[in-house]
Amino acid sequence: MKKLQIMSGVALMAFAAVICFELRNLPFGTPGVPGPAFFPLLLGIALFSLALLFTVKTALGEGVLTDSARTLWAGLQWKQVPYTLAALLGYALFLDRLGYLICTWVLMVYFFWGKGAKNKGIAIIGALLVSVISYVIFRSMLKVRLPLGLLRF
Amino acid sequence: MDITQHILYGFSVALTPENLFYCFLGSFLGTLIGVLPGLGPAASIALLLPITFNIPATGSIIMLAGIFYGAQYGGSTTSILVNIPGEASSVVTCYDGYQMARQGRAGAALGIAAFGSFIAGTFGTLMIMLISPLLVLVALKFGPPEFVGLMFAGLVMVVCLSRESVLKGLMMAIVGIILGSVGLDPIFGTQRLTFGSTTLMGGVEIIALVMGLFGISEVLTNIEQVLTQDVYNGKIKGLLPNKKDWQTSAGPIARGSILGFFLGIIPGVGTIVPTFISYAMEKKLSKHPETFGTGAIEGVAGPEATNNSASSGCFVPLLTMGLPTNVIMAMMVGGLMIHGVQPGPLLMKQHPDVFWGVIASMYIGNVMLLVLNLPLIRIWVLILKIPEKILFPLIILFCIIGTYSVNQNYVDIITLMIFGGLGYMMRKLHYEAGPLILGFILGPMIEEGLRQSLLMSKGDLSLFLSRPIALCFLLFAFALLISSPVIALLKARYKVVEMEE
Repeated sequence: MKKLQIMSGVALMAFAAVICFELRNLPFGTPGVPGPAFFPLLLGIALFSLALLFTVKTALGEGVLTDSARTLWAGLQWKQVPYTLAALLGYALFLDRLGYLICTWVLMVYFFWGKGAKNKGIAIIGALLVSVISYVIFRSMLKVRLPLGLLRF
Repeated sequence: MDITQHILYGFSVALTPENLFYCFLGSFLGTLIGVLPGLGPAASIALLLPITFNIPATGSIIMLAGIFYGAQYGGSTTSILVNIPGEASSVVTCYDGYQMARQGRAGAALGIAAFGSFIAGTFGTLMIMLISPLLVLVALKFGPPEFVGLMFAGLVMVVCLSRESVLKGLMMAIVGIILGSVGLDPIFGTQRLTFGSTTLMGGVEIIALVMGLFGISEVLTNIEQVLTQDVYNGKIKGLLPNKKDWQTSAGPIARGSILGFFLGIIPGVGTIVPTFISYAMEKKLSKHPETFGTGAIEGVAGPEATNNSASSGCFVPLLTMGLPTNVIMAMMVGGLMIHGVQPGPLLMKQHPDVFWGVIASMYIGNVMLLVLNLPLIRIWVLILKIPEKILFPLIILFCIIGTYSVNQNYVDIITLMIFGGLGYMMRKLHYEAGPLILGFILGPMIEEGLRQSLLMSKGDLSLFLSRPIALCFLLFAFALLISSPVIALLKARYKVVEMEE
């Protein structure tokens, strides 16, 4: 846990550094006429300083540095998390090309199947129902412009 | 117009068929989601925010408010019947509510929770009607420096009163403000922090941010666990509390209503802390404190009244000063701003329909919840039995559609995924998302106010020292920051007491 906390502090420092670097070409202005970089740059510096303080404080504080990060995920089905995020990424990338109905059906089959549906046939039909019903509700009733993709006819 | 005319005007707005429908829909959806364990009001509002895009501003905020206090009602049902709080402010209700259910008194527990919530909600609404116009008069005297001081003090209070470390809260608030400054500079219109992306020119999409940090991350945290739901299977009867129940509960409900409302007004306190204070207070005041934890009805009545009254109190700073006191109120600001309505002292004058309509709808919503919830209790029990393997994919799908519906851009779904993963890691490492969202919403307002103040004073920071109200807010904020080690100690003690309870 301690190791992960230190890593989170370092990640925040890196984030602050990236922000300050990105703002390098924008005018800072003067206190009387603050420029676009004025506020975010001050925040970036403040974040970097606080993250540094946090990292040092955590490193010098109680706890063993070699604490395994695994303890945070012990006894949990942690693989579900990256799989779900990957499924979301895939969904986003194929949504415009394949369309809402196909993408949602595949995603729902994956979730229902992956979460241990007793009958695979029910998972497939259930996913189909979810994608069609949600399409009708959101596209036809709530006028959300969901992409048709391959089914554009 | 005097106060009576304002109130009548509010009711004339809230009682239109359209707004009545939104009020009902919000209360119903709020209760529905409050009933489902593992999905709090913040996630619910994030989930349902996109639905309000196609609704007029008044209807939209009426619906969002309904979701908020509806979730407080719904949360108690899960606490009593499953012993899992539907949302954090119902944690205390588990202690005695579930014990009452085990003793065959689930009906009485649910009944007193509903009636207590109704009474407290009504009290809270009346108080908003009385206090808000007075606060608006004060807030109208505020200029940019005062608003900067107020927003800064509010943000610092939320950070200091968050459950985790103050340092982490501060870092999250700054990250939120930085994310809020992505896009076009508010004064010069220059692109900043867009990393060359045209999508980021419009800023980070608020819906993707809140849905990711609350909706997706909540599902991710739940799907890795093996959840077992032991739903109460007995027959629920006797929903109307008897005379003895009323006699025992009257005091706790009255005290909870007052306590909750005034604590709810304070930035950062929210609806959770007051319920613990109410429970501890009732236990101290009781002639039989040993019965607490074994099914004492006061242990249900007090905290349930408190959380509803606190949820009304939270609206006071938002409607009068434009200050969101917690993450849910911050989302309300987002919801209003999407409709071009800026909450604050001018809201009452510029959008009286929104201001008075929302307040009146809160009263109507409380009546609706009381009339609907008790007869619908069997439906809520059925909903509790929906397996998570069906529920979680549907929540994810809602998040996707909600996010995509804003700009019809797949990049927003990727943003949702990124913030979902980030939110999950933040939960694991005990970083709170509340200060981040609040920073994201308040950041642009603070920046604008600060830059206007600096332009006014030609860069002279002593402007903040020469304006007494601004100075008071800033001194208060710095005093809070300096005393944060003491607050940390108090929080550690509070956690120990909570664990012992």
